[in-house]
Amino acid sequence: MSCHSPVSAPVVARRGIQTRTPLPARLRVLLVGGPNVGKSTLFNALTGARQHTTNAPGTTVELANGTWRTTAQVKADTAIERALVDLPGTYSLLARSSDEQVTADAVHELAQSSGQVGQRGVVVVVLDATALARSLYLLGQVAETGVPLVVALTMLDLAGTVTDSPTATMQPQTLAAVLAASLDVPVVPVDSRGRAAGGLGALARAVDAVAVAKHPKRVAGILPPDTAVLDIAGELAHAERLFEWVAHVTAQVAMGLAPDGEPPAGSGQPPHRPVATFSDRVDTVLLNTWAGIPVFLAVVWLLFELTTRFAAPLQAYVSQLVNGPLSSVVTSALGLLGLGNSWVQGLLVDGVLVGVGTVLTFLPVMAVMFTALGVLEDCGYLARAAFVADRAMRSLGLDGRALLPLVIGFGCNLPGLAATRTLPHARQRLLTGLLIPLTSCSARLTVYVLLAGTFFPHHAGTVIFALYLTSVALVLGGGLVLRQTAFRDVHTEPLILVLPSYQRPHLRTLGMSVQMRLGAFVTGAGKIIVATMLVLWVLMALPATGQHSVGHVPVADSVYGRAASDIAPLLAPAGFGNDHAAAALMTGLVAKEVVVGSFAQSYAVADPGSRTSAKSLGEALRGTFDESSGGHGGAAALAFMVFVLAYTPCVATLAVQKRLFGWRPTAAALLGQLATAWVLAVLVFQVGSRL
Amino acid sequence: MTLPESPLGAELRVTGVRLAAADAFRLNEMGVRLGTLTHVTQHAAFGARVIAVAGSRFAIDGKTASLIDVEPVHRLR
Amino acid sequence: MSAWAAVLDDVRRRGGTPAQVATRLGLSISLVQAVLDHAQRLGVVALASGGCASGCPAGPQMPQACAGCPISLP
Repeated sequence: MSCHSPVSAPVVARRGIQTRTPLPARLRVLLVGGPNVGKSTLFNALTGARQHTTNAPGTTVELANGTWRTTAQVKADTAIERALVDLPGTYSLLARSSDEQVTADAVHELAQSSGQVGQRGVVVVVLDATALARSLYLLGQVAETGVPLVVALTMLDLAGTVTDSPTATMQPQTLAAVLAASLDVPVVPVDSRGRAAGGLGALARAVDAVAVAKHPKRVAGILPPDTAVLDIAGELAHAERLFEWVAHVTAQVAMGLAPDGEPPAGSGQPPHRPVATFSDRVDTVLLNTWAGIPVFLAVVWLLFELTTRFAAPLQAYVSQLVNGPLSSVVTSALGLLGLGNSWVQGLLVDGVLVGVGTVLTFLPVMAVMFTALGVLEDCGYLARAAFVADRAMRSLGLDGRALLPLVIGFGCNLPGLAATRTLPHARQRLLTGLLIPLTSCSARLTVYVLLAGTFFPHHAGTVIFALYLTSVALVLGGGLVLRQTAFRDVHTEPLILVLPSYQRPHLRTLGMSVQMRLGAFVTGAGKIIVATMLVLWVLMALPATGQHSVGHVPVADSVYGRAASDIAPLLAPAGFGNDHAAAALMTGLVAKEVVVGSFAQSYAVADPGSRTSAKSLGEALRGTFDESSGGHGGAAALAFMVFVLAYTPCVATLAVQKRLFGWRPTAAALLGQLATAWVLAVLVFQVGSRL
Repeated sequence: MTLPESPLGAELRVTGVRLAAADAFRLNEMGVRLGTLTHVTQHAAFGARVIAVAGSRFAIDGKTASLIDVEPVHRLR
Repeated sequence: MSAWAAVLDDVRRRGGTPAQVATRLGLSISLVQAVLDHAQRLGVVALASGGCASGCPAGPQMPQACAGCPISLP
């Protein structure tokens, strides 16, 4: 048998007497289409609440199954039910992922079984009117399997926004009619929300008609391949024929719609005159010489306002839940087991529960931050931000490309350090690696939110924004100093960035990204936090002298308290020379997220009676900071936050720095960070307390 | 003339890329090479430019832009 | 010349993004994307994953298309 014949003209559909077969009791209907074409919206509209999720056989891929029920045309009191399956979105039946393979297998299986009595199934191929060629390519592949099919046309309300497509200037019904004439199979327009009863009813009638037809119509111009296995030459020849068909149908659509005498849209030479796109018009403002940086700063400020104002109430709720009902339940349960007021209760309630509560409390903050960063990246603005900030960095001697690791560092310093490997020269990597710890990571944000919310409740967002500005100033200033001293030999490289078009963020992708990052935060940082809280509790439970027993020792007399007491006097010039603050900074070396938990734990253990709700953490902090600063608690809190900003991020950062750059630069960086943090904190307090 | 000296929106042809070999190769792969038609879409600070090359947009820092030579394209009407 | 052959030939000779190819050939971006997607699935074309603006994978997972980038590292 020969290979595929060239596709140069549509094959005329066979007409004649078509004998109907009975509609199967439960017709199997598969929804096939690309990602984000409205397939799932259509599925939900067709099935309503009559749906459930299963795994594709032998895989972990989830499939949405449902019952598509309509009333029979002939007998109004008779319902027709169809088993509808929403297959994973795919651009092609040439699968390269497990999801796509499931879709390809399902279509091939239906094609093989459709010839058998009672096994008829129908595929509904969802075509995206805004990306017609790409959808036609998938349709062609599905049609090659010989499976009975119907076309559902979606995104018609958005088709007019696609400027390089023949669909840009047509009416939806016209496009559907022209496509139906070209493809010679039913084409049903469906609106973007899967609504419009007329559309869905027409879809049901089309599917049923195909299901009962003895010889369902095939897509015009598509012939099934003679063999399923082709060598590469055969595949290339097949691809050429397939895309000839796609181009032919697209041209037919265009010719069917263009006014007489005008060439179809999307064909011919590129325009001579440059055409400003929507992204160009927006960039006129966002990349403007004078407006670009203020807009960038405004975006960052908005980010932090969202984090504080929006997430704070959620944080408070979670905190109350953990410290109140949950803590009471655990305490009561332990009492029933005869473990009340024992070291076990202390370990579980003041150790484990405090740790878990700390992690849960900051989930809303992290979720808001990750979502905002995801939106900025997905919509295309993040690349503009890098471009806007580049020149500022170059003027201070930093390579513009160093912005990427630094921006990542504002999320977490560890991947920021790992990202320095993208810089071409070792000296650039070291320079950037020394500056990354000065970027205020998201873990520090937890400390800012607590203290700013406590001491500056009406200006918390602005205070945090100022801290991030301080972080940027430290990075730039530090870079300038290092470039003029130890790094005179570092040279900058050209910055050439592809600017993506602005687009609406894909919510589903964004949601999955945020979920993944939150999961990583919980499992990664969460483990460290809970483990650290347990260690902290042990240190607080061990007496430094022989006057107390384990688990029943005041904090001041514990191993933990003694170490904090020795350090506290060094912090007095900065206004927070108290044991609680010193201890929190000590634990902050393990992980910044633990600072808040450390405060909570040290106050809770120091005054056990207060845990019952008489005294909040905020009140305790205000009292302590006011006392240690001589009545200037606000200035002391600000100084504390600046110290947290500037000193060593965490021991994990030190470990990565040592691995990347060696012991000497890491040790020098550690001393430099501590010294910088102390000097800045003292400066902030001494000036702030006099204002 | 160079990119920073070019007027906004005028159609240009790239006539020279005076960058280091690795950087020129990078531009080459992105579609910016001798003879490429382009136009400047944005003027940013310090000579940085955004150029359009057949539907794509590239942001280039000022110093690099000053090393890319262009000439206006004159079309017969 | 068919759309398939034209797109592959243009990419081979001139490089660039799908948008550039579409504009040079006067084709819709959707069609060019479909051609390049299929070519990638057949293994005859390697596409860069993601834009330069959103991070540069280095090491073994670096896309082949980034080989000429001065900031790429083996």
